[in-house]
Amino acid sequence: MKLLLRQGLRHHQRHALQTLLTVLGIAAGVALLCAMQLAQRTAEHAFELGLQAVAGSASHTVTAGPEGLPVASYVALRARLGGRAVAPSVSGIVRVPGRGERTVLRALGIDPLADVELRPWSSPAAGEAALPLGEMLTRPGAFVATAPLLARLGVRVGDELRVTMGGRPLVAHCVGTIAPAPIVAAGLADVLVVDIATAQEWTQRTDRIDRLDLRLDVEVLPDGLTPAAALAAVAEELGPGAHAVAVGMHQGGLAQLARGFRINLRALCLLSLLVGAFLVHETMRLSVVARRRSFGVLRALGVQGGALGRVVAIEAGLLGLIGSAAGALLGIAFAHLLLEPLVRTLNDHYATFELQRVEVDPLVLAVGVVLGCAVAVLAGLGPAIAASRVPPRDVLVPQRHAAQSGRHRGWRIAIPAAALAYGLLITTGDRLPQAYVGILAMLVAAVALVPIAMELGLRGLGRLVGGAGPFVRYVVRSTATAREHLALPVAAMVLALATTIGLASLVGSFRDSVTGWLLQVLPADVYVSVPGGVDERVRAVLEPAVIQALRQAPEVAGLSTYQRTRMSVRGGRGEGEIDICGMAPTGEVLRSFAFVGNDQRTGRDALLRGTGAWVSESLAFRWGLSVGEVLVVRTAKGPVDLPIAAVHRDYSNERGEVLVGASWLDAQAQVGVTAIALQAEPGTEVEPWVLQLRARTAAASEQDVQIRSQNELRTSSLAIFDRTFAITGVMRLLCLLVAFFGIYAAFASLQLERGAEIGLLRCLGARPRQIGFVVLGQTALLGLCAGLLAIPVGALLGHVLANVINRVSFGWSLAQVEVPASAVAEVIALAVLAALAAGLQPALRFARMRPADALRES
Amino acid sequence: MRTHGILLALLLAACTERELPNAEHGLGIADVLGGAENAAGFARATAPPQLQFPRDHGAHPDFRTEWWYVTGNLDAADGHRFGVQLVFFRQALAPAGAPRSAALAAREMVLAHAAVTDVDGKVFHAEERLERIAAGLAEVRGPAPGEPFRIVCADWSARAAAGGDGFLPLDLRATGREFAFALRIGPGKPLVLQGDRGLSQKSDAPGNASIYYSMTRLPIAGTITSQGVQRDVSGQCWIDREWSTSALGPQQVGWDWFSLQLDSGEELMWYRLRRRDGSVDPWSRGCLIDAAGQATTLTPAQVQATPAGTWSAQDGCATYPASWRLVGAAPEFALEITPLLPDQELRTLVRYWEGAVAVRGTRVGKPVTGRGYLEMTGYTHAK
Repeated sequence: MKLLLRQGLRHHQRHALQTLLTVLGIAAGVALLCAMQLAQRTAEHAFELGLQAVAGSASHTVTAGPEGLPVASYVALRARLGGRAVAPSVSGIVRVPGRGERTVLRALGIDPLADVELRPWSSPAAGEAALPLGEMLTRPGAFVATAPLLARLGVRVGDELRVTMGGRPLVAHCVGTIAPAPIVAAGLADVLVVDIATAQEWTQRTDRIDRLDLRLDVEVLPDGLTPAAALAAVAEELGPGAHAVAVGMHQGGLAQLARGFRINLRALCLLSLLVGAFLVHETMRLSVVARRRSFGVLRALGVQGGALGRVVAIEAGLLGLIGSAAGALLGIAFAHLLLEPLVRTLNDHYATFELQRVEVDPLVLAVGVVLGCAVAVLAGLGPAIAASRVPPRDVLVPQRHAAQSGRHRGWRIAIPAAALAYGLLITTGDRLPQAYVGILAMLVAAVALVPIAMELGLRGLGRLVGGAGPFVRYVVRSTATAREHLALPVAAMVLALATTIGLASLVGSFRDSVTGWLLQVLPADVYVSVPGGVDERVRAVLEPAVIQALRQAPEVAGLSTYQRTRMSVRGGRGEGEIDICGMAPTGEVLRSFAFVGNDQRTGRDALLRGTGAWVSESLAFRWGLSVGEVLVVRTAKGPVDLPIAAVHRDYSNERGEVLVGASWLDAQAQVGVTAIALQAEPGTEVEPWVLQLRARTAAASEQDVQIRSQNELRTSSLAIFDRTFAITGVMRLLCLLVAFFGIYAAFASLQLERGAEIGLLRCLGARPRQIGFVVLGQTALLGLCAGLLAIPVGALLGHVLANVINRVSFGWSLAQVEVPASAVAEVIALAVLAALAAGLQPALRFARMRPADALRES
Repeated sequence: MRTHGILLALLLAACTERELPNAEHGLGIADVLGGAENAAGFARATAPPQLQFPRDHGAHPDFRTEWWYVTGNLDAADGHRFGVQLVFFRQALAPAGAPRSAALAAREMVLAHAAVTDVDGKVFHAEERLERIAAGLAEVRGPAPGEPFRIVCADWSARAAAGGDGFLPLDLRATGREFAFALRIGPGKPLVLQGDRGLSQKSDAPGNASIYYSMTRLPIAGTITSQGVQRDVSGQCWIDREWSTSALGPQQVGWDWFSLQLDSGEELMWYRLRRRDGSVDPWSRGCLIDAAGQATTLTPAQVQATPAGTWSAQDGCATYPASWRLVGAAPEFALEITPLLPDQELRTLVRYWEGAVAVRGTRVGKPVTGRGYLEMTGYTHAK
């Protein structure tokens, strides 16, 4: 066995370049996988830490919809549960004006006195890091923060910091730094910690609490009170509007957004790993073919076929191991590339955290390595079996590469695979694994068809170049002859290239759909809101003075109001905190909504009358909701039924939203107006009108209000969209990189195998220049083949990504899926360039080689 | 006197290694709670007060610190002995300022400690509560016409019962993780003004003093639950009331405080302030109250307190004297003071030893016994 392995090692040493490229191919796939997982984990972990810093060691969390909990109920609960089991908090988003991009922070209002058990970092017993209680409690606007945050803000203890919340200017005073344990500090990286009274004043919710964190265990509950009895006491004291959820059951918004990313990105990584697998397969196959003679000799000397097979499998595994290990390291570097767009996206949607460093989780790297090795071994299995079956007599019979009748085998695989793919993808529903298997089957079908497509294409091309020079004809014909042998590497390239086309097609079509949708749903001329992200908008209420000023503004032809809030909703198979928006729309605004297939008029009437709600497409998909079903909304008065009157298209909020009439919402909860849409009198020039409106609201109130024309709003919405998908762009780039490596590796090694053929040509009188033409011509032709074949496969993949994977991830369907021409051009250029680059070294080598040496090399 | 240090130590509790209160850390504490040097805006105790009762049983928000301190020894019908402690500290974090709109805005907080010494069950329970005075989380109300006194901190309270003088009878309620009590204190011996007609000087600095009075022997009865068993109990308790603005002197690092009820009908109170150099501070004070309620002030020249043996907490972070001998020349007494349980250490935010003790000795040559409470602070140290 040792001997056989040593022989294998010598083979790979002789073919160092080819082996290196194989290793690189695997490395790229594993790197992508690790990078994605690491970036994702880092972001998720940061988010979890943030939650933990707030929730501490809580077992349950209580929230109570838009109005929060009355302070009196909290006090009563605290008296019943003893002082140790309950900690309140009030939080809001603050902005630091004029400090560049990272100006969004969370103000977390806590009661340091109540937090002893739940948030030890804030308790008076927190050691040297104890909060300056006196100042925090008694000085309005006093805050503490971690030293890195203060450094970032350029604030020192004793300084004043001007911030805004909901557009209102506020003055904050830095009264100290906190230095909690690193794990908590990470969660507080973008948090101004204030006393709960300051938070109440800043959020203008002076007699309310946003949430309670409970620690319901016998360690802290008073004598005789069981956790179950305590939970009952919570329900009793806080009333039907409150909702106690066990920690861990609580699904953060990030988890959902991240899910979309994870699914999309994981699909990509698996594809790239698949490409890597093809490379391993190819390398091992070539190595088996090259050593066929020696294997035959060994068999004749009595070595068992099984031993040869094992050696090949071990070689594949080793290549996989080296490649995977390199890939894991490369993945850490790639993760840094991915983290930036990921964090920016998360901040667009959920405000506030900053991450500079990727957390390297050894488990992720280990999984990547194991997966890489497994894929390599699996890919090497075919060649290993082939090696074990080399009959001893083959030693005497010179063999060309084992070509089989590929055409029939191609169809035999392609047809059932395609049928399976179709069946799986059409019935996916929300079963993601099924979608993955479907895509895999689809790709298998595509790969099986590659030799057939190549044969047809090259035959056609052969006819076309019939009148061209002998070397042109030679290039085409020699490629056609060897197509069985060449089909597999080409297929691998097709996969890699198709992936990038599919992605481009997904993002492009998505953008088109969003653009179209924005044109439709922004019928008003001017939109007024408080600046902020999705989370901020929920509570950022326009001040009455602002609304009054807008109502009385000249040239207002119509005014629609929106009251956005977040409530606990149950329906279908889902349950959670969902944005609910109460609308008092003008007719034009009302008609602008696009429904997903149902009677438009009934839906509109139900909304206006307050008898039914509209559910966004993504929510309907995720929760399995349809028209006629009933949502249960938890309000302060208890659960309220809300029938679904329509499903509307909406790309603005992937968490989903429920639209109701203002009358319905007003009856359930007190929610201020969070946005206004204004229509101008006909003939009004919008831009000057916007300036006029800005002046009016500035005169009426100190609140910082965002007044944007339809055009501005559309532009900024698309900018957010582009940022959201920037990460996909990065992934696509990495994919292109993998494809480049793959093409380079496969084609370079293919050419290096052509020693005998080239030597013969040299003997027949071909000049070095002509040899160069033959080598480069074939690689370019193969690159072109891969590029062209990638177009239909990529288009199909784009369609599946958009309408199956994307739908499962976000719940959005797209109007139309198209393949962007730029992506096609890009892919073909890349394929041909990579192929030419791959041919360069072999071309030079053969051109410089003496014919006799070339012949001998075979 | 005693609790002043507790509050100081609370701030000190900061030090996880729980060092002694000292000048260095005291400053840190003062920063946290606004120390003695930030007394501006608060009232100071500079002259003997004109106290009026029941009004002065209530809060004095002009002063920074104030407490209601109850300790008692009780027995069940089956002879089961208990010690009980319930104390509420009111601490102002800032002088009164502009009103704020938030329901939870506060400038004062209440810290409460409750402890039960289950002498025959050989177990000691202690817990604490800490709340801001806002929205009813903690409050101090009355006594005023139509509003009997009450002080509340989360689920613990002391409330004057209807039909009394606005302060007594006083109902105490506290429930901890493994204990609970509901007790009523009735009227007993008249209250005693400590120091100079209620002005208790703490150090040489003028204004560095408190208003201090005690109710040294009051009947107490009700129920105590320990180890899952609720018992009817009755006995005698002691209430200390004190308010002030300024803190201990920087040289004062700890103290030992005795409140003893002798079966002769007399009570003896002594606090022994310890200085950094180990000497007894000349501002240590005490008093002997005769059966009729007449008090005689005691000074360090008259009283000698000598510790004997040591008791160490299991974690090795504190070592206290295991027992005491208290000797006075005139008036003459010689008393051995022995804890009813060795471990009555409150391992709360502030760590100190406070517990029920038995008294045995002689008074003017005659044998005497008694019960009482002992508090020892400033004995923690780095391990």
